[in-house]
Amino acid sequence: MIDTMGVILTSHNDSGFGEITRMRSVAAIPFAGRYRLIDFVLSSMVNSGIINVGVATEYNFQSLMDHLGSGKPWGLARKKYGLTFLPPFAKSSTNDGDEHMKSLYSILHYIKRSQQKYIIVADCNNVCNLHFEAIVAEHKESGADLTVVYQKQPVAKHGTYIAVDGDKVQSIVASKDCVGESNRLVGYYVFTKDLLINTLERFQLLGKKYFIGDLINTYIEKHDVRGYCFEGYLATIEDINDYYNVSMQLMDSSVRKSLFIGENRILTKVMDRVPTKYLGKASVKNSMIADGCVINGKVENSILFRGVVVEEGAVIKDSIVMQNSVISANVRIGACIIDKDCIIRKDKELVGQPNFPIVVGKHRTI
Amino acid sequence: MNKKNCIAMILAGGQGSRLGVLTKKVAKPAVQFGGKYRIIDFPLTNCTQSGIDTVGILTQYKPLELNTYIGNGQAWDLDVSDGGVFILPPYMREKEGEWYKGTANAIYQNMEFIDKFNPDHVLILSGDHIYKMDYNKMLQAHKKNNADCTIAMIPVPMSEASRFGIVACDETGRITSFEEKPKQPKSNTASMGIYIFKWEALKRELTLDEQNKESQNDFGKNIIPKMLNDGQRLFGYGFTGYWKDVGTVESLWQANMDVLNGDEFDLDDDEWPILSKSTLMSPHFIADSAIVEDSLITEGCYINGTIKHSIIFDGVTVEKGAIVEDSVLLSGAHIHSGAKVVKAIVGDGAHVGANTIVGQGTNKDHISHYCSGGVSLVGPNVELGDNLSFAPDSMIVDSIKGGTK
Repeated sequence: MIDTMGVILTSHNDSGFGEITRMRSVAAIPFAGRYRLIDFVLSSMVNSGIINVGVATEYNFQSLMDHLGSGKPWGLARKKYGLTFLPPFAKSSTNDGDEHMKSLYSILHYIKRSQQKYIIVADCNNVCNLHFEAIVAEHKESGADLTVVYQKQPVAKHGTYIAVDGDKVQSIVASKDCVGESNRLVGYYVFTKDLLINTLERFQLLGKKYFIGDLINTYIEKHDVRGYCFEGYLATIEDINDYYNVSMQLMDSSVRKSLFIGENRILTKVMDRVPTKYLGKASVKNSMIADGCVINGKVENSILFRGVVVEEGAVIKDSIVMQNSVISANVRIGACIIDKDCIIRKDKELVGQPNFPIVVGKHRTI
Repeated sequence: MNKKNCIAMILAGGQGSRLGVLTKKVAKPAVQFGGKYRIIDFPLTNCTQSGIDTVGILTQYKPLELNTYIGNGQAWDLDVSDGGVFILPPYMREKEGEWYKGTANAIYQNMEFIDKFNPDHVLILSGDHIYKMDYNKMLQAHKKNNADCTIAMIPVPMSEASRFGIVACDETGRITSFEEKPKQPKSNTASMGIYIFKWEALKRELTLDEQNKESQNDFGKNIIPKMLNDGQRLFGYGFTGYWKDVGTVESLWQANMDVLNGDEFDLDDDEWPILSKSTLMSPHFIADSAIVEDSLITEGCYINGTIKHSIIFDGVTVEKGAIVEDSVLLSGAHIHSGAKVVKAIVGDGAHVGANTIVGQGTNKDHISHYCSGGVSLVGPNVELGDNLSFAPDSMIVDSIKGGTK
């Protein structure tokens, strides 16, 4: 896929995430014990043979920068192309458009400079291990100007849906006009690059502001837009409840299998933590545990990130505990999301509800 | 290229034949250890942590797995532009080429390589020990003593002293005697096989040694005794701490158990993290029926059985009803339901069939002199069928079809 470049738009609306995006962007939210959300789309691109990936950012990108570094873990620390971190232009005014359009306008020079013929524009908030190769191959074969990836899903309020006839995309459909299942756009778009550049340059002059409303809609009206129906596992995370629910889906072996088993690994920053140590009082059931933990308590239906300490007598149920947090002796935790570097002191009890998990922000001590 | 102060040469050519089937396909330095490491990770980590950024690894026996593991050295931060890690197999010269005859000859054959970096000192390491050591401290002592050669020393149990080079020093630390594998050791101060030489001294000695047709071209047997005889400045450098030669199946198993006990040898050290190449698997999953106690488990595993006092490498599956005790399961091993593995090392990719018993069974046909102390070994990729039973000290080299219940 030397002829295809990737752009990941990380300027995602974080209003639904509360505390966990206080110190980081949506793309950098820790997920599944050792990953960040961006790892899924980035690894999918790299595993598809893409060697030129731009990561467009808007704000709060310190944590993301720290995670991606030079792109080495993804094999993107290259002389030519590789990983390009694209911070926002200070001059871009807030009236330029929605987050996606602002990002695209501000990285236009980078897109133009790249020599690839095709470009994948991707959101950062999907949990999915997919092959872009197949999608780009269909895009080339059909001769389309744009191929959008969609999935048949129950209608949700955040989603954008499309009407299709065969592989031809006919129109955008608002979620309120859908019932039951519909074709949700999952945020992966394959464009033929020259036309995209022309269109963006024209749109910028015209002051067009909306990614779906202006760009995708115009494409559907004027150009050849095809749909690619992705049938594998894909979960979109739009808010803290999605985050909790999708995390809990990891307890399902078929979900883990589709994400983590097979040739295409999800790549991430490696930390050289020791294997997790289970002590004599450990009792762990149905849980996903990363390296570097020390466990001497009870853990059920939970996800522990790297370096979590669970002391004797502590009970963790239906929860997510992020990197290096300490759950002290005799603490009881249920339906919680405990961010990085937290300390829950002895004998405390924190019990949320699965539809309303308690979130403890980074570096907090309770 | 910049002149280097000190570069390291790791002797990784040994076959490690006493590890039996574990080293049938890989060199000893590539043998797995401690849940996610290989033996070579320890000297490589020590180099990086000691500020040595140029490392030659001398291989000749089954080097493929080691070579692919080392790659460009990125895992150890050794992918640097002005140095890095280099795999050095023997190669053909104009007239002839030959295998590395001995430890000293291996370095002799790579003198040109070392000269490219023009170092002041050369650190010679062996690729088959488990330990954490700051070589920089040793180098400082070496320089302070203006030594031609400094030898790292450690006290060993008297009963084992005859396996080592035994060193005696005067009060200034200068070595007064060195005996390689003496029948009657005078003390228990042993050479760790870690040497720092002034490069000009080593180069001279290697050249002379090569001309001596009688020589076995070995550091312990030839180079060191000769330098001592010549009155050159040889110093001892005392090391305390964990250091283990994992030469046998039993000692490899024991060293793994030492990691579990933690006090003996702590891998979880923020100041000295052991660097290794990640397998990039997801966190492990402990399922509903699992019981896990006193164990180490790493990424990619699926555990639904009982695991007690064991070390579980990446990608291992332990099915429901299976029991694993006092054992080491290497990468990708699969223990089927109802199987029992006690006091054993199960090789990478091996399968232990349903209800098969390893290490506590009845069949004595596979008892091997490679195994001792009741430790059993299942070879890499060996597939054991269902309902088999193997006595302690068994070494199972080939796949065996299932029996009847």
